[in-house]
Amino acid sequence: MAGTVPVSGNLSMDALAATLTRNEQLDFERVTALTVDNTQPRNLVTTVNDASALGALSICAAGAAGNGTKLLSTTAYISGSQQAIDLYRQP
Amino acid sequence: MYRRRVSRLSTAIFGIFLFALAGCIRSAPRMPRNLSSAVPINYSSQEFDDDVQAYRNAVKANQLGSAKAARDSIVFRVIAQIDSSYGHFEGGLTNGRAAFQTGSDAAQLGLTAAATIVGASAVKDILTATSTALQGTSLSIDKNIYEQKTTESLVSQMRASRKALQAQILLSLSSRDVISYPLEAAWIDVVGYYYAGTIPSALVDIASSTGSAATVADQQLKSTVQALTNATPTQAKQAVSIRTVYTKLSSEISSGDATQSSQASVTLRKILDSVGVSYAADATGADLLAALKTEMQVAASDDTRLQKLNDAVQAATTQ
Repeated sequence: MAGTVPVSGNLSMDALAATLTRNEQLDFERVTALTVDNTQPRNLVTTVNDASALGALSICAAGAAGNGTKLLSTTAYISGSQQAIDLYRQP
Repeated sequence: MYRRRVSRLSTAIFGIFLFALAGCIRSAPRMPRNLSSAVPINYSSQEFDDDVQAYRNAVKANQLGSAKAARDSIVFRVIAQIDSSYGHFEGGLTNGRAAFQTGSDAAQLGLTAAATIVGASAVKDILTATSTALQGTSLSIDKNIYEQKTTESLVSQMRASRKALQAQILLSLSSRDVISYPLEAAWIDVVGYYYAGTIPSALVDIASSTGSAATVADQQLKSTVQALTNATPTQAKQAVSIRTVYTKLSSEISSGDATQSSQASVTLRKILDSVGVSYAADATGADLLAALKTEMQVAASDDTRLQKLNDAVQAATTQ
């Protein structure tokens, strides 16, 4: 369901990327924003409906070399701590 | 003689009725003039349009801080207006309904008593019929407008729904910028906030929160859906793989090539059969594709279904 929903703040970068990817691929959505929830240690992801085929997502520390096209740079809870990250779309 | 007695009784009943409807019994202390006046929160259409334009200009200029301030201001001003209207509505609902019911009860008592006292059969019949009609009207209003819910339960539900939505809006305003929570998204929430303070909305909310097992299960389902289900990299690969197959089958179904389309339908049937999804015997390729899409959306938040669907897709496409 497109909109903004919470995502656990205790996931590793790989697990967070996997969670976002699974949702995109199976729920026919596209991630447009990822932010921290200021009220509790978790993230908020915003998606829109998108029926087009999309590559998987990957996350790496801000500034690190990523694989694919960079979608956005943001701050998210990774394994319980806030961290600056880059979100990439793999080809 | 009888006519005079009936006339006096009718006058008395009418007096009681008017007394009740006049709202002589206050249910709240008089509100201070400054508080009851809507002047401080007046929000003209022109001001609103100007604020929205200022918000859009700020977004366009990438001045996200100014845009957020404009967004928050617009939302707070509209909420203030909704709250002001709701306060009057709730007060009117409580007092108006009580006044009507009290007046109706008083009139019925009077008419019933009058029917007992008078001897003339025709007058007695008129009074009894009037009493019955009044009672029927009162019951009909309760049944058809309020669905036999008390004012307290309706108000309680409206307050709870409004409070929950208000908390959600305030949380979003404070924790999210205009990119992830633009004015349009806030506006959707504000409209929902308005409707949460209406009787139809309260009736629906009451009906859907009766504490039954089905409702509890539904709430659990909703709470599951509300947050994304955690996934492992393996599950993400499965999701990509399933989606790739879906895209291929979709392309074949809509290719216009009868052979390709037919083969795609066979594959879809195999997948759906494997995961236990039923479909009509004469289902078209598009129908089968829609059934697969629904199953994929279920698998987005269900690990077991995801594994099963992945196995089915792999089996059907590697045969």
